[in-house]
Amino acid sequence: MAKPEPESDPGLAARNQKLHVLFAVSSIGLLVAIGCMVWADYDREWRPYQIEFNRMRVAQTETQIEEALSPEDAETLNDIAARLARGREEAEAKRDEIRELEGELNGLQAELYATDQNYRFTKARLDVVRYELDEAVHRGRSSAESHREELRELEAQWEELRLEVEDISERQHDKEARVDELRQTELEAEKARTELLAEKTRLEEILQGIQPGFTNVVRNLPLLDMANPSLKVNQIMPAGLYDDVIFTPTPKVDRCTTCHLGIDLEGFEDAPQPYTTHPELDLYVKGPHAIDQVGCTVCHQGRGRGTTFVSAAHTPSTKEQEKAWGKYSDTEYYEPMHHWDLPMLTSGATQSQCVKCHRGVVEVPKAHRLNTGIELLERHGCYGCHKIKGWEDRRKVGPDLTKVASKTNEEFIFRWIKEPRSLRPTRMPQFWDVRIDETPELLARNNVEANAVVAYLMENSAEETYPAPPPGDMETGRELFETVGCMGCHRVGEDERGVVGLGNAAHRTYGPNLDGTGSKVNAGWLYAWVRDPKAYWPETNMPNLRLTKQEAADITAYLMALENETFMDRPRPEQDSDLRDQIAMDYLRERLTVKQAEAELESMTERERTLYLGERTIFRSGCFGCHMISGFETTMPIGTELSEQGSKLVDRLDFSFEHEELPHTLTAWLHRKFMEPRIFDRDKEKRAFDLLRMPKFHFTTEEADALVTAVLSFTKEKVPEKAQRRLTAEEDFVERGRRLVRESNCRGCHVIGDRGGDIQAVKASFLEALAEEDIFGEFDPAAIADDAVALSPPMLYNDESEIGEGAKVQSHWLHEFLRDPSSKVRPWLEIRMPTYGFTELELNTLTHYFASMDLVPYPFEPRTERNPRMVRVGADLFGKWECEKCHVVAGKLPSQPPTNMAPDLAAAHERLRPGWIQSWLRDPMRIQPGTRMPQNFPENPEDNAFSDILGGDQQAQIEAVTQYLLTLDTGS
Amino acid sequence: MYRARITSTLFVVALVATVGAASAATITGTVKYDGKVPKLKPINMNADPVCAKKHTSPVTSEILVLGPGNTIANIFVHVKSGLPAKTYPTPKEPVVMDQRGCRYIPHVMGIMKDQPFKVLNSDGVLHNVHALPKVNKPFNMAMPAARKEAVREFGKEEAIFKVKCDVHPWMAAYVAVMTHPFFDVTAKDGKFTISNLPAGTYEIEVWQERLKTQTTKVTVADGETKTIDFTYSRPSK
Repeated sequence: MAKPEPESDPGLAARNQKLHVLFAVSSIGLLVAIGCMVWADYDREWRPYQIEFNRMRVAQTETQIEEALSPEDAETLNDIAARLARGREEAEAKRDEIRELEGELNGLQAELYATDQNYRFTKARLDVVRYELDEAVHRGRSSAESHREELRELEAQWEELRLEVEDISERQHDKEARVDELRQTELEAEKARTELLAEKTRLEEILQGIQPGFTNVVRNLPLLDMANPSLKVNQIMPAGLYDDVIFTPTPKVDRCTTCHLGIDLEGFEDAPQPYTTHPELDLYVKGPHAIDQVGCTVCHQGRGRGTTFVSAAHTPSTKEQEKAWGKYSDTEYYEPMHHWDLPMLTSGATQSQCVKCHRGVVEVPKAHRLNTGIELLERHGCYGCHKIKGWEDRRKVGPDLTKVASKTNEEFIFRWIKEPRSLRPTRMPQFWDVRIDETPELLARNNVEANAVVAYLMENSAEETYPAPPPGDMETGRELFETVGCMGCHRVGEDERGVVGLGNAAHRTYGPNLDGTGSKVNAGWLYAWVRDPKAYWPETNMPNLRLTKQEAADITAYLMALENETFMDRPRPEQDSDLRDQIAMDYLRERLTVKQAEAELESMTERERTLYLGERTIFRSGCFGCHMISGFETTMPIGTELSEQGSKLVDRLDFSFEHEELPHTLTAWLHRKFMEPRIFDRDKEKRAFDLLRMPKFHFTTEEADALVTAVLSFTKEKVPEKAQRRLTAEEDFVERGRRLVRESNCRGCHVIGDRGGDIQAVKASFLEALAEEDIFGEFDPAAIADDAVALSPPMLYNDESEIGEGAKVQSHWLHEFLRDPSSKVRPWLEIRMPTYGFTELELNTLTHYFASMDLVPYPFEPRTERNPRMVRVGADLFGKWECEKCHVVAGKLPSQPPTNMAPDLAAAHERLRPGWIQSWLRDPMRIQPGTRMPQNFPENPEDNAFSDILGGDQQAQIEAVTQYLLTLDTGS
Repeated sequence: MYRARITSTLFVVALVATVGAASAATITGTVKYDGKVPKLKPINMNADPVCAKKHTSPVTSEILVLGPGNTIANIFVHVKSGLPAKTYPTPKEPVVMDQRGCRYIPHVMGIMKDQPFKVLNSDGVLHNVHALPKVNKPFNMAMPAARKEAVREFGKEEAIFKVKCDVHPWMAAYVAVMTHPFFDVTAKDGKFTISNLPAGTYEIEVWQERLKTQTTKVTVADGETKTIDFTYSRPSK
């Protein structure tokens, strides 16, 4: 069909007109839409942050440029400028000579070029002729001889040319040197200026790159910014790390640095977020945890791909913050991103993620909060009720109750289990009367249950009888208690001496607080216990201090005098048998029909009913998680498994009515749970059975923080093995030893690394008291800290010099000493190294641990050479230095106060490693800060007091003394 | 060389300034003891017979040394605060501490930061000089009979600390490291003088090894000499 001719259709023009309008409108609409799209794509939340940060950075760089030159530098610069001017003048004066030289240099350059070319061409020709010669000889051609001649000629030519080239270069150098000489002052000044201005120049170059000039503006215009904008989304893709996105491992992409722009730059420490510099740059962003290798979300969690505040899954720490952040989600309270399983960790909880890579370690270096949390978790025995992977086979933390009747009585037990903290500060939690909405009915029920538990424990306890202890002296006992070492692990009442950090994780709170002991135990038991703790409870961590009968009697007398009468005056209501029956009935009805239950109860005697309720209550409360109780040897623990609690989804948590108070985060929920374990029952109508069971530990909020961090570390996230921190064999031995060191609480008495030796503070307090008592007496307050070190057990590892017990003593000696420390190294010390009763495996673990810490041979120490002449020189030096003035030698004590005495040198050959003796003699303070051993052998022979002996050579004299020391014997 | 010249120039400037400031103020005073004088046990040097032999009469304790009228010796007096912020030149001549008769002489001394601390051993006995600073690096150097002198320095300002000998537990000296020269130690007459002070209000602190410190504020005008006396009374026990 032919198109209608326009002329033949008069209406066409009019219709076209309409179409034009339609097209015009729609194309304008389209343009606007495209514009909106471009703008929407352009107008991102992160862009203003980048612009603002750029402004900050320009300002910072400008200030740095201003400050790059100090006033002295400015002065020097003036000086240089003057020198430069002078140099230029000098050069100007010799202009003619310089010009002439430069002309000659140009000529030489041309000459060099030509000759060098000739030299190289000759070499090429030489190669050709040599080839032709080889060919001729091989083929037996007659031309061989002429080729050989030609070759000789060329070789001679080549050699000549080489000399010529070298000659020209030499002349060139001479002339250049001459020019430099003429311009010396000028050149030196120029060099000095470049050096002085190096930093400033570097900064100026940086500034040029970031200044918002014309180029940068154009680069960042909408649409044009697709090419190479300076404002753009930054991303890090740490190799080998994956996110689990709906069951699909997807490579990790962290875009956090799009807004957190100052994260790796020094100088933004005080800048507001998101520009703040990361703390401890050398450890994290730039150190072993380099940002390009680990990214951000592996530690912080959150959604790395997000480029807006909400889509990055930021998490508020507090309710106030939740409100303040409402602006980001355009809501009154911050609305976090839904359906993202791993919201960002709130500040402080980040350390929980360290263990993803730092596996198999007792402590993660520097992760103080996490380490404290784990320590608290272990001490409170959380794993007794909650299964936690890695903590399955540990002993129960509370004392064995299968013989409890031999130790105490039911009057005490009732009061203790009802409210342990009314006796003394303790880690035993409180099971009853801890609901904030406890009703009178529940309170009555609590008493019935507690009474029933007491009955059960007494009924199911073996009863050993202990004879009354020999008479002891309370005052002597107190003195012994304060000096022999008990206070490394125990306190009495509110004693804060040497307690650092969180009280419950400190070394001096490792054992129970002994306040109120007299109200708790009977004297016969206590006497037997302090003499040999493992006889009563083989699994106890309490070591044996080898107390004599009299010492044990004295200490018993002292501890038995620590009574808490207010505690024993607390009421103990009679058993309410009706209520008891009612509760027992409730339990029976759980597993029997109503009729059977009634019949069952009917068939029980009074006593049986009480015992039945006791058994049920213990079962329900989980007492056996921490204590050995007859009848519960194999009962499964009652708590939720915590092995993957750190990955628990927030929507699986019951916030109950607490959601009004708490931000919706796992961290906040856990914290609340630790502080008020039964709070999520608040205002709920539940049967007594169904109420929450976790007892109250009375944690402080800091303790709860640490525990939350520990629990968050139990995650199901897997970091590929390649990315994990692998332990070397040595490190593995160290970790095994660390566990034993912690369980034996060695740090209560010894400094090991950055912590420990807490008992020193106790010693210092006694010295202080003595100094105060007699202000003109022998104790000088200025020397107390020093004396406390001298009177306390030795440091076992020095973090700074990285030298410790392993490098010091021979492994065999250490093994014997740890097995039986009764022969004292420092006989003047009142404090004793206790006998732990370590197993052979433990002894080996500990000796290996010390050796591995110091990277010294284990277990054998190489034999050392002994040279009679050196031994004689050593003996001479030993006499001249009067070592016996302070050191015990073969049991002979020096005439010194105890603070000045030093270990027996006759034991050196079997105790010390010769290499250590040498390091020690070289610089004793480096190994034991505060030691009284002077530095006798200075590095510089001129400073040596006996420069005539072995030429005053430090190493030679030390070697001689070491050799002599090794000849000393206890017999000689 | 250049630095040496600067230092010496500074010295001259300081000297001129000192001489020029004839109007500079002086604070002086006496420190007295009030109360029952404790009976101090004489030092027992039996632990080292060589030391004991050096003395013919019992050696009096240095814990509290009183002069006639119960004036106290060995009081360290210094300007604790109020000085203008400026750097005072460090004297090149050392502060000397001798070990004589198995005692440190002097018993109390002030030293400026970086000033040489020269230790002599006139005894010809094995001593060790164990300094117990907390801010500066502690040191413990042995001085056997043969070693007659040694020199050390303290690079940082520090409140008074103890120096002791671990061979002879009775030996004690006290050293304060100052950043300015406005300090003094009393002799038996209990008198101290701090001169050449610019006009101003200062906190003056006195220290006795067992009676601790006392402070007082004092304002001096140019050319003025002010006397402030301190009295230590025996703490009631």
